[in-house]
Amino acid sequence: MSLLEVNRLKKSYGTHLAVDEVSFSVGNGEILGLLGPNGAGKSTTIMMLAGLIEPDSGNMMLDGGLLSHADRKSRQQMGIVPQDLAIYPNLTARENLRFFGGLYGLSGSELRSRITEVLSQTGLSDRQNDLTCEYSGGMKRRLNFGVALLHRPRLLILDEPTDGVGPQSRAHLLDCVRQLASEGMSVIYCSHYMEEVQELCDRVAIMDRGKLLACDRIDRLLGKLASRLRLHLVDASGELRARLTEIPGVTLQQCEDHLILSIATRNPEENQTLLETLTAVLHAVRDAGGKLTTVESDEPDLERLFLQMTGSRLRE
Amino acid sequence: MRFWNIVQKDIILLVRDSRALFVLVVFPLVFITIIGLTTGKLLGWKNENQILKIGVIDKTDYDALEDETDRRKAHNIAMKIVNGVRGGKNQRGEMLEADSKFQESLENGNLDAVLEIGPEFYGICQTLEPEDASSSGSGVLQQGLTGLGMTLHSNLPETSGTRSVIEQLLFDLALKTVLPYVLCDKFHTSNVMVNVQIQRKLNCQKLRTEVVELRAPSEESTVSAGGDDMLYTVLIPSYTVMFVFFLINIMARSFLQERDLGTLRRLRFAPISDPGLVAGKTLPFLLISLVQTGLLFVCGKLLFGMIWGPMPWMLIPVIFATSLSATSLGLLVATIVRSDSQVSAYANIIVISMAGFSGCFMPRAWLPEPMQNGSLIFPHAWALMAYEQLLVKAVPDLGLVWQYCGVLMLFSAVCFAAGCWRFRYYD
Repeated sequence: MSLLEVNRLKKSYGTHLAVDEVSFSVGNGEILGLLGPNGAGKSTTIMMLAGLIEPDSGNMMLDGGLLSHADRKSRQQMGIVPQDLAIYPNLTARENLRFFGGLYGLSGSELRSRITEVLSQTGLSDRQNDLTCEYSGGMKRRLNFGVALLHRPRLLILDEPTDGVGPQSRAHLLDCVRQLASEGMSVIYCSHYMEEVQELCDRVAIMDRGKLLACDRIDRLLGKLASRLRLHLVDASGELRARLTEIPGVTLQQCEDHLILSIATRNPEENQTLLETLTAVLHAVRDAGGKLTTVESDEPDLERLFLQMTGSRLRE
Repeated sequence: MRFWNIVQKDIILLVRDSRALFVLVVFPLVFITIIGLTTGKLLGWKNENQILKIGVIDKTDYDALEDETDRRKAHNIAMKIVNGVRGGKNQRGEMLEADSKFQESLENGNLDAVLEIGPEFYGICQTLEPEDASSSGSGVLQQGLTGLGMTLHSNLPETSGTRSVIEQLLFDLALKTVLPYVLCDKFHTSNVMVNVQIQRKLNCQKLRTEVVELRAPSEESTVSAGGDDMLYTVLIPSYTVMFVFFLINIMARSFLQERDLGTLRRLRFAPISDPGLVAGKTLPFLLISLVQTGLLFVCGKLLFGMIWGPMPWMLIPVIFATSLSATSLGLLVATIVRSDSQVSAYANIIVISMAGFSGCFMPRAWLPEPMQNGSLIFPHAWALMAYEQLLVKAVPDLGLVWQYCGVLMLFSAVCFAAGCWRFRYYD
């Protein structure tokens, strides 16, 4: 059963349609990656989930209950890690956690023990009594993340949590997210880093211009993309070009002084075809005296999937 | 009570913000001190040689006065004389107990003279006629203080110029105090047009020709602040009111910082309502403002000898209403300004203009009437009027004080409601 159900959510600002009938769900313990270029409607969707913006139409269900805009109590079950740091630089890590914990209704020994746990979880125990303005960027990010975990939310929404974070802190954060999901926490993970999403998420939702273009398991989405083998040739004579053109499944592209030869491969069943094609190509090259300089394998990934679906790179 | 978490957090942040503390507490104290230094009245500093130290003993036999009105009137006259001595620029007066052993004070120089209001003083006052004030009078007043039933005790030689000055000073004061009572008694009214009658009675043609309305002397039943103390009694509340409203800047900056840090959005994610959030963001500043005013008043009393008036407890509602209006206005301004530079530009101008226009820089009485009336749109003016009633008037009109507090509370309610409405769109 899904923890969160988003049904035909719609929000417009004047004539600009920011979110257009977006529907998706997040299961218990599932990590859903939310991808989209700037202006795709991700942030608006998150803000509607967080109760900051009221949708024009559609609804959201959290654990079977309707999540209305004014419903502050249900937000108790959510933890949100905003993209920008949202901690007080003139408070220590412990004071920040105490404040936000209190705001979510924690108090007394429960609050103290949760603060200790979160400090340990985020690796900040040693620096807990230092003002956070003295922290490194990574430490601030970890605290920003820790604040959202204090009240043990059932749904954690992370908006670009690793933006500007060093490799160590990034790895630490991703491990934490995995750990939390394994403990049953549902996660919506928004990021520009495709490799992170691919590595971390069970499913991915891709948004562009307010619309949800796809929402499925990563392997299924990538399965729709073909792998490519690309061979770079120099000194390709006219005779070689003619022979290569005759081989099925081969496309040629002249790039400055070299010729790029692409062989499409789709799935394991086509491996035999690939072998035959590749053998024919290599024979032709050898016979015509061409020189093979580079061989590239172009495997399907989220970047390509995203590019194919939206027609733009993620950071554009 | 989740808003209380925000209150605690903001108080911690404010205490750690040295700039806020400097603006709210240190700066006004420095300002008041500088003004005190320029007037030479810091810590009661004054060239002792220039000050006449006069004690007053009231030996009126109140028990002998059967009528309650007479007893009150006699006490009122005595208090006016005491306050008159205390209110002089170049003298320091103090009320002594009737059985006081003042001789020692005269000998060691703590007092230059002691004016004794004798038991027969009030009786003589009752027998006085308006004509007695003129040279053609019965002659009672020709005897100076003695004629009024008053005695001057001093170790200064009889021929001393200082003694003569003191004697003349006190006689003039006594006459000035007593005469309005005499006039009102004789004309059997408390509020009369006296010019014509006085001219006829005194047979004097040198009086001003226009009719003068003589009001009944006001009640003065307690010892009021002296002249030196009055400077700070006016100065401290004025500058306190001005600096209380500097809170607007600090508040606006706190809201902006909350927004810029992204923590405001995080607060809005949290399970707390908007009114709770506004209350949490506003209350710390109200508390800080109350502490600020209390601190300035205590420092004013300890360092500058400020007098808290005859009803110090009544300062509490005025302080509260003033601080509340400052924080409410602060909330409204905080939800309007969009950047730090706007705070610097607009908020400072608003605060200083309001203060100057309302009379924080000089007594309101010195302001032109249109300005006095115009400034009533600002809370500063109402706060200053309330403080004036409580600190300057010997007998404050509590009805007026409550009325002024009511206006301040109304102002606060309007600003708070507008601030809450604006806060919904603040992001």
